[in-house]
Amino acid sequence: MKRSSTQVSLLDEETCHPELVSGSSESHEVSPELPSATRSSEVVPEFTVSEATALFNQIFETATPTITVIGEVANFKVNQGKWVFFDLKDEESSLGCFMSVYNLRIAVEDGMKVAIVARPQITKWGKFSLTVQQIRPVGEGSIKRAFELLRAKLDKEGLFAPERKRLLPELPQRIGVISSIDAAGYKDFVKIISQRMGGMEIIVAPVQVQGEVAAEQIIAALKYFNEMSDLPEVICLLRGGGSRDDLIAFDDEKLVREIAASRVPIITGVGHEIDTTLADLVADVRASTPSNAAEILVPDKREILAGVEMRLGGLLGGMRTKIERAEKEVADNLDHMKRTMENMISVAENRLRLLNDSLQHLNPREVLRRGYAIVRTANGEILHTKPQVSDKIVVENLKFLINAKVENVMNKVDSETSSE
Amino acid sequence: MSAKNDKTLREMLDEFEAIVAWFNGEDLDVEAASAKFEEGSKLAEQIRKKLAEEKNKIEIIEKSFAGKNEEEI
Repeated sequence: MKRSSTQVSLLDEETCHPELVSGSSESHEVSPELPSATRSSEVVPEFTVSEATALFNQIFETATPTITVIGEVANFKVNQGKWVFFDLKDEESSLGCFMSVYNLRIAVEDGMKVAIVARPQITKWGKFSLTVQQIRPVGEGSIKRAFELLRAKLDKEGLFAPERKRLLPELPQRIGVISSIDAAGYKDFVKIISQRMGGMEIIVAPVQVQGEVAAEQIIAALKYFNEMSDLPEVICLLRGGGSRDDLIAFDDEKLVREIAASRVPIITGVGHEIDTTLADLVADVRASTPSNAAEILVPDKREILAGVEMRLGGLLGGMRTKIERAEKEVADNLDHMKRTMENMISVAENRLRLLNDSLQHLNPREVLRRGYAIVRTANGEILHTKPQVSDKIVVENLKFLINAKVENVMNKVDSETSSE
Repeated sequence: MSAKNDKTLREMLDEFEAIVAWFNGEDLDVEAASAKFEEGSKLAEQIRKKLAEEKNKIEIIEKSFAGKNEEEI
C-alpha cells in the first residue's frame, strides 16, 4: 500500500477533506504548502487517493482500533430500516456516526447522552465517520429515557402482554440458571433453593451479567438452554443488586426479544426489589431478587412435610368423626322410631278410651243409673204400644223389678208417643 | 432402590392426595380404611425420607458463552 515514491499529492478533489487534512497535518508532518512544496532533504511519499484513504484507515486501526466516545445524539435517523446515522456532539465538536440496526439494541433519540464503542474510519467519499459497534445510554436521564422508549415500543408489539405469560412448573426437576457464579445473588439463590427443596438438577450457565458483553452472553446461554434435547422446565435469569446502570444489560432489546422467544418459561430475579428492567417485564414471572426467585420457584420442603403430616393425622380424626356421625345417626333413628311408636300407641289408647266412653253411654244399665226405668209387658217385651187398664206390666229400674197393674192411661200432649 | 422410591415427589404427593380424597369421600368403607391408612402412612414416610435425603445436583456448564462481540473487544 505504502509507496516509497518521493512524490506526494494528498490533495485530491475527490477524497480530500480540508478539515481532516489540517487536523492530521501536524502529526504526519504534511506541509500546508502542499502539493507544490517539497523539502529538498526529505523524501515525501506519494499515494493515490484510495491508497491515502487506506493509509489513514490503517493509521486509525493501529492507533485507535476501537474507542469509546461519549456525547449527545443529534440528527438521529434510520435509513431503509437497516442503517442508522447520527451525530455525536458536545459543546464544541461533532462526529458523524454510522451503525447497522442489528447493533442498535436500545432506543435512541436526539438529545440523549450515550457512550458508543466504535471504530474510526474514513469512507471512500472522504468522510470521517465512527462505525458504531455498541451504544448505551449514559446518565440517569438518558438511561430512563432509553428504557421508556424501548418499553413503549415493545409494549406496542405486545411483548409484555399478560396473556403471553406462562405458568411455572409446580415442582420443577430440571432448572436452568443463567448467572454470574461469583455473584452474591447467585450464592443466595443456590443456598435458598437447596434449603427449600432437594432432588433437582440445576444446570448453570455462567455468564457475565454486567458490562458490554453481558447481553450477548445471556442471549447465548438462553439459546443453549432452548436448544437442549432435554429441555429444562424453567430458566432463572439472575443478577444481584447493583446500580441501575449496572443492570442495563437487562434492558437490551435483543435480549428482551430472546426471552420472549424462549420455549422454556423464564423467571427473572434481577437487582433489588425496586428495580424493573425490560427483561423483568417480558419474563413469565418476575421475582424481586435472586433469593425471591428461589422462593417462587420451589415450595419449602418443611411446609410440604408439615402439610403431609397434618393431613395424615387428619385421616384418623376424619374417620373417627365419620364413625361418630354414623353412630349418632343410628341412635337418632332409633330414638325417632321409639318416639313414633310411643306416639302411635298413645293415639290408639286415646281412641280406645273414647270408644269405651261411647260404649258406656250406650249401656242401658247406665241409663237406669240416671233414674230412668224400662217398662215391659207381662211377657217381657218392651212396652211400645198403649197399654190397657188392668194390663200387667213389669217396671225395671236400677235396683228393682216391679210387677204392676195399669190403673189409668193418659195421652201425653207433647209426647212423641201420644199419637201412637 | 425399590420401585416405589423411583417415584418423583410429585407422583408421591399425588398418590397421597388421592388417599386423602378417598377418606374425604361420601361413603367411607371402614373395613378398607385401615389398609388405606396404612398406605397413606407409608407414603408419608417415603415423602419424609425423600425430602430429608435428596440433595440437588448442580452442574456448571463448561462451555464459554463469550459471544463474538466479546472476542472483538
